[in-house]
Amino acid sequence: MRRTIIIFLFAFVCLVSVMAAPMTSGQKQVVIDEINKTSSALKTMSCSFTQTKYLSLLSDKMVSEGKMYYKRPNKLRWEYTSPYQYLFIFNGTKVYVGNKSRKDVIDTESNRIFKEVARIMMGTVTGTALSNSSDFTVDVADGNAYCQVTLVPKKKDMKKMFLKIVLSFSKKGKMISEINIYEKNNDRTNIKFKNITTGGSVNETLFAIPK
Amino acid sequence: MFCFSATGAETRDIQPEGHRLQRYTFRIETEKASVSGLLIANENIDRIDGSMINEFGVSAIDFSYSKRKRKVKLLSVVSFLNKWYVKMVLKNDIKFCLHMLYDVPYDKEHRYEVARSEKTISIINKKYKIKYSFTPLNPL
Repeated sequence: MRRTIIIFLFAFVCLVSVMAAPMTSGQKQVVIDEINKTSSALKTMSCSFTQTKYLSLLSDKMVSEGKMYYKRPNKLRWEYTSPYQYLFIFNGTKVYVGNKSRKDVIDTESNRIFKEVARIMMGTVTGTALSNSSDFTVDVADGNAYCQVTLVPKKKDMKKMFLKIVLSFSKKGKMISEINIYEKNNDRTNIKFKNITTGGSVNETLFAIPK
Repeated sequence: MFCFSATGAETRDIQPEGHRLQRYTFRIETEKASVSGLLIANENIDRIDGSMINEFGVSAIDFSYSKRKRKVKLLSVVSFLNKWYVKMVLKNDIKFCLHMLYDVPYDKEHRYEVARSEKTISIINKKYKIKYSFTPLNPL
């Protein structure tokens, strides 16, 4: 079960296509620095999201809705509310994955891979993943309303599943607004964040690991 | 004549003529691991195409079942299942599951146990102790 979760979490963390203009390496670094500055100042974040999975085989899509809460340095709640309920919580060294019928709690201290997953997942949502050169090759493009950052996996496990992850950040404020995950089977997952609130109080109980 | 009549009408979507789309939640359990998520299956006159994705939206298995040949072809499989001996079992199990989901008699001897509750159908591969559960997806 843990291995399955780990692999899917790797998949999950590997998180827009907008018209983008070429940039010099200096300009790219400026954008990355700005995103890093925003992410390092981020203490709390909450938002709702819409996730759309485009299935190439069936020419169909699945739309899910949910809510996300983040609290620095290492607490994250990712909750699907529709069309099914599924909850995912990172709290320090513990990770909870569950729904109505099954619940799993994993200790990242005893699981090196899970520790890595936790690090990348929060890094992707908050934007700090851009500064870690061991996980991804990072490229930046400048769009009209968004900065588009393309992450190409470097590690073997992630390469098996993902072609690339494209993150869109608002030009003003450098806040994450959209994630596109491109899979090897030509499926794509789009996650759009809405009603983003940063710096507000986030109830600690949201990160409590259910027993 | 081999004919598929789809069950779980509440999950059907309107599709082009001759196509029928159905959605289920699924769970595959072995002694050591499990995968759960959604199965989306599109039936047409010749075949059933299906995608199994986990709750986070990541693809696990894509398959195509030919009604005429009565064979499942695995089009893509997530890396940790992408081993020939696993795929061989998966092919046969998915085929049997489709027969049960679409209420089509299985004409060979088999090593499966089938249990139906109100909405969920559970299929156990007795040899490898793999349990497959499918429930028609009703939006909340």
